[in-house]
Amino acid sequence: MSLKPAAEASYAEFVAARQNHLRRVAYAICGDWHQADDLLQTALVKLYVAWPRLHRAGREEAYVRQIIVRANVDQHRRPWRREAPGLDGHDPAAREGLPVEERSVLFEALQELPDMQRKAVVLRHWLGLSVAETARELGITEGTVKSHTSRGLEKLNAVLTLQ
Amino acid sequence: MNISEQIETSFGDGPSHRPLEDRLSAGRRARRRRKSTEGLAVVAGVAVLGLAAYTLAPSGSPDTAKDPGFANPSTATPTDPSVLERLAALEASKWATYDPDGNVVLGEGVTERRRVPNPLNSPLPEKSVGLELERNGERLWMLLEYEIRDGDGVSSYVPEPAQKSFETLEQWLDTQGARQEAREQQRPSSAVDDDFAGSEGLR
Repeated sequence: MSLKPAAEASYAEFVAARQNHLRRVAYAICGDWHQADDLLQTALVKLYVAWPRLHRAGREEAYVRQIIVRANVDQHRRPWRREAPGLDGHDPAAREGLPVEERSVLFEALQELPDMQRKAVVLRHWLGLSVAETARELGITEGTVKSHTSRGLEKLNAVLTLQ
Repeated sequence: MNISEQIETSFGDGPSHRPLEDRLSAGRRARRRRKSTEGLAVVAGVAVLGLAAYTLAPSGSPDTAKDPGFANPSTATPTDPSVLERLAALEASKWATYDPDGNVVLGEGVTERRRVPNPLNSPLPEKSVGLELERNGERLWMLLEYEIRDGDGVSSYVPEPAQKSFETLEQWLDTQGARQEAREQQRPSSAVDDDFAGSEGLR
């Protein structure tokens, strides 16, 4: 069942314009292009279903970003996920990313951060969310966000200083 | 260059995107599934909210025999086991529900002993909550989920007598989440949460 033509056209326009950025957000969070693509696809399908309401409210991008972050958080939190050590995309050795020579030092350092530190840094310092918004999206306290971002930035700055 | 710009430029764009038509097709399938379950889901939601409103009315009496919309389990003569299950689920719905605005409302005489916020990690405006409830010495676990469908708040739930199958509320909630996850993975597109079977007792 399709959206009305005008709504579907605006959805398609949004996807074409923002999918690159949104998948990079997913990639920054999970460190694997295939998993990032799955996260984005999940979010975009949900967006399609809720498009009229979200488009009216101008919340399309925030909604997609939230789905991406929550879906990834969810995968890491749920025990039935954590008990699958060989799960695709969760084994660092099996991650498929850019060729090593194309990766920047910063990105490598970002991927080396513990999971929540990386997400907190991405949300706060790349996407520009407030401490409160970041806390809400990650389901942690504002104090924990501050400590994660502080430690994460400290490590990133240490790496950049060495360059 | 600040840290934001450095992160932005620290990696490429990745492989090519899926064709736009694939995205649209997946969205249409999800929307079709939602529409096909919507009628039943809304009816279930209305039943839950209607029963809750009846039971939770300040001056109301939880006398199901006088409720024209409720078949009293003690007087009905269901022969199909699934009918019994449905009636049991309807009874459980009186313990707690989301109201149309997404607030958790407890039934008369029900005490909340514990609460696990958002066990399904539902993205706003959707919500979920795990509850351990007590009424007249009886304890019940409930997983409540709240969704907006066409502008209406719909509440669905899964009840379970406390510690019937699991030691802790968290373990039980994890299992419910796993079941939901499995259901989603069985669908052609694993990308939607549009018909969470939380109101399974009403189906």
